[in-house]
Amino acid sequence: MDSFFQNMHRRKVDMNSEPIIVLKNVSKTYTLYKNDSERFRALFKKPKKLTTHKALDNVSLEIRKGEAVGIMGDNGGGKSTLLKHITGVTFPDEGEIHVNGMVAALLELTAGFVLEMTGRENIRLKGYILGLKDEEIDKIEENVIDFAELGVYIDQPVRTYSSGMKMRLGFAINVNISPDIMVIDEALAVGDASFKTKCKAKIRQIIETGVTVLYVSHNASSVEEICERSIFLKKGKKIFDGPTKETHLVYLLDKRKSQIAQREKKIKELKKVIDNAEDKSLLIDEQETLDNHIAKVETFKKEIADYEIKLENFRKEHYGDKAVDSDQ
Amino acid sequence: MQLHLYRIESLVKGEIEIVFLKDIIKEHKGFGKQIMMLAKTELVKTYKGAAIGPGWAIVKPAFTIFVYWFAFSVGIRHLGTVHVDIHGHDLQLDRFLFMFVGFIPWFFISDSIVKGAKDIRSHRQYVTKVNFPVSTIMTFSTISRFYVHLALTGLMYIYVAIFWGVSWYNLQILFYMPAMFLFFLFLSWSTAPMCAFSPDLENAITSVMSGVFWLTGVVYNSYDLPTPLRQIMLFNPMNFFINGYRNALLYDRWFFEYKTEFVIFLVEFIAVFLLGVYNYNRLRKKIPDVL
Repeated sequence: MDSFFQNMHRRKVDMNSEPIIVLKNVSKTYTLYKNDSERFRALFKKPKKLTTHKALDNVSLEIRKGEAVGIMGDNGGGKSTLLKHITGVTFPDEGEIHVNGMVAALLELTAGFVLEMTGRENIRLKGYILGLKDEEIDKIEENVIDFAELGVYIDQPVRTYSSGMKMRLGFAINVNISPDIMVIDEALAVGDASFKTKCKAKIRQIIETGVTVLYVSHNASSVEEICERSIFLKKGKKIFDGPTKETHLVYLLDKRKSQIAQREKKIKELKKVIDNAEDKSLLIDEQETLDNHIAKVETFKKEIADYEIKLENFRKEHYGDKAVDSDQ
Repeated sequence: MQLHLYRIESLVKGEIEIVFLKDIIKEHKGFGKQIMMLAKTELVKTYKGAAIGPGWAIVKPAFTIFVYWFAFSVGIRHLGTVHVDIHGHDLQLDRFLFMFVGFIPWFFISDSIVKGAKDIRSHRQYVTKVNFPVSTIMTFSTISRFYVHLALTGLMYIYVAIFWGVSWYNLQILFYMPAMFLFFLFLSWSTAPMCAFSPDLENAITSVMSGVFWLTGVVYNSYDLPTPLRQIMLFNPMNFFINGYRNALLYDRWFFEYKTEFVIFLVEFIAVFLLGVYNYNRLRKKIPDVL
């Protein structure tokens, strides 16, 4: 991946064009049932006490046609929930979502294959599931078969395929249906090295044709290569939305800050243990961990200072001398 | 290509809107061809990979009928003939013919109830992975089961035509078949989303089905029971179809002749339909979260 997208031709996005994806104050709360019988009872009457998890909290955003937008955030930040809403799989509790176009998701490449049917039949089936008509499937069928490089296996049942072959077929279908919006979730680890290169080239080609792209990755450098703009989600809230570089720095700053908070809590606990102990020589391990934590906090603090300078420089460069509120 | 626009504040507040059929019709619009193809795919999925393939769709029911016939006509010998009271005169029927005509709708009924309840759960990838019109899952699954039913009915009719004879009354099959199709499709609008929520219901349905078989007049004549039971049996909608197939093919009687039975069925039909729409709309948007 790393430097693959470098030197890519960046498209110009017309910021006055109609937005292709609009989210207005979208919130999503998942109900967590204590056990199966509670869920069963919930079918018939509303339970009084419910444990809930707010996966999206009042998120609003607009994405224009042709934009490539990265989505950053830790696990549980709401990234996949957001993508699920955009692909139309899940529905929001509050707010509105408008998606104006066909969405292809490189999320679950092999989902929906029928193992007893041949590759060719599965292409057709997957086309139907995605809402394509026969003529549309006829048009893409050869491209898919060529791209998947399955050879004679295309007329064999999918159950005889290796997992790599299944992934290739899934990928080939998803990239060939000419979507308006493409959702990519680090699904690029497909097949062997040469096929991987081919996949990346195909994605690059698709991005260059002006398809709207949503890209989720833990690898910040690959996000930076593809997306001019990024969104940072934390605990279901949209924390930051701006140029990818800026978003990335904001994300790192936030991450280090919460890491420091965590470590400091541990330091406090350890100190208490050590102070209360009668024989301190028995607590060598604890002392060692404590020192480790303290050292780590120091490094993090240095990193934070570094990021802050970088962020300031970036903002000066990007926005000119206009003062920018750091908590946008 | 698609434009979705949802406003679901009402679900949060716990208020449930019954949007009569609107959602279900919207999901089916322009999807007809896909539904037919997916129905075919269902059949392929079930029978592909086996050497005699679709033959199993016939072998299994044939064996079941044989076993019951063996038990009743050979094992318990004096049960080889069924007596049916038609307009006061006694009609004597061969037990095998009587059971054959009853079993064919029963196979569809039991298949539709048991598998229909699992429709959403067994197609979970359509619900949780892609934006798919969920109500069409029940439609194409029911259609695929109906294909099997059509084939079996065809075979049965050949047998009836040869060993019993044909009459204009037989045409009523064209009323009973679509009515049965719709009834169990509407039923799965309730059961499939509920079973997606909780597998308990699915297990409950599977457990009671063998009992339901004996509460339905498949191997015996439900009209021929002592008085309170006979009336109670009218409330079992499955009896309406099974007796209906016999009305059409064996008894030469019209479906509206027995008015009480017909009215009870109509009321049940409407109730199942309304409940289906209500349950589907109530649970549709929650299903992806619990599957």
